[in-house]
Amino acid sequence: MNLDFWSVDQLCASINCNEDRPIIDLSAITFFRPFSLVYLGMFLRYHNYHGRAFGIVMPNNATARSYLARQNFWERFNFNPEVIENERLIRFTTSTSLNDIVDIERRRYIAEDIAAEVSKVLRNSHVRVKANLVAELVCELIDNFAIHSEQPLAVVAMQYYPNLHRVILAVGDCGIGIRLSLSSNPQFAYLMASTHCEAALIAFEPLVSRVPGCGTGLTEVRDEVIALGGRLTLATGDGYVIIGQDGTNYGKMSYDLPGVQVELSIPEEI
Amino acid sequence: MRRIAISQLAFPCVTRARGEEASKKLQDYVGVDQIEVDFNGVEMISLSFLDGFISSLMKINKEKNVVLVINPQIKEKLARIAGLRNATIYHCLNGRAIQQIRPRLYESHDSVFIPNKAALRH
Repeated sequence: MNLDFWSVDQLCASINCNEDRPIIDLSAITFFRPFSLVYLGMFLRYHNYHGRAFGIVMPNNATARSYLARQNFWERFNFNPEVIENERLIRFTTSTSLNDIVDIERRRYIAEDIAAEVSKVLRNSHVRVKANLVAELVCELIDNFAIHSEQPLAVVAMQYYPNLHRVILAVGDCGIGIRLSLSSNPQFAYLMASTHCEAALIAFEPLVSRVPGCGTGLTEVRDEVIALGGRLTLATGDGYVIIGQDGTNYGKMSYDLPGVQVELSIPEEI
Repeated sequence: MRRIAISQLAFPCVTRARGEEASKKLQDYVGVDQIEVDFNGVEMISLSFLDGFISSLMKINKEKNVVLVINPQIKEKLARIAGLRNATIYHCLNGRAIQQIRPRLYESHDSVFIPNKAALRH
């Protein structure tokens, strides 16, 4: 069973957080898609931040188990993000690695630093996408985290599927989320009475931002993903938005996870 | 007309903050005559960067004093900004005559509420 956008929120919703040490059962998982890595990671980070630890039933599948181990998945998300030192942040291990999870600390130039790395990795790995354009889109998402999340750490995950001719990148945080961020701008204060998915839809409109006069980033990401023939999946709170070649769909997630988690799925140019 | 490379004003050119930084530095040059800002030779120039650059110039009514020397990819992004901001942006493409960017108007996207996302899976 793949853990992906379609299933990871149901997994999180099924965990009984009233127990002393809630159990996360991953025994049936054979593959982790980038969105699910970011979403599950943010679930752990959010709850760990609030003093809750989890028991884990590891995947029966050896490949899935070793993948999580290689990514230091449990060590990475089992700490208080307020106390991590910069030296402990895990970046790309090689300049050609396309299967890494990357920690992102909130600082002024983090978006451009990661954009440069993403572009380099895509080009060095000969992925047939517009590397600079894809890196620009990742940059917009990370800049949104740095400006709006009010949390110290986010995460990026990338996977390349050579047989499917597709690269998938996910960015996530467990910060204040789109609805609370936008509604801090008096112009969009009304969104506090809206659902998370309605607030997320508004966020894709141009010149919509908590900062008056800003708000081109998500619009640009949406338009470019469509132009590239890709798909954008975004979750915030208990809302989701999926934008692709079939149009825009939105609705409710099974779990209400704070912050914003986004996945870009970009096909290669054949 | 004086020409200045965008990389002299800010680098890299990928965030709104960098665009605003470039605009502030350019204000030392703009005012007496028109000035050309050369965007060629920079691999990544994002729409947020361009929007930060243009909208900062608009705040001090200096955007019409600047000519952007660009390539076709940047022209498309500038057209979107001109449409969003109702901005007058002059550009020079591939050494041709100076022209005003034709605004590209924003296209609205319809959306559909799908209560149960599993219905979308296939």
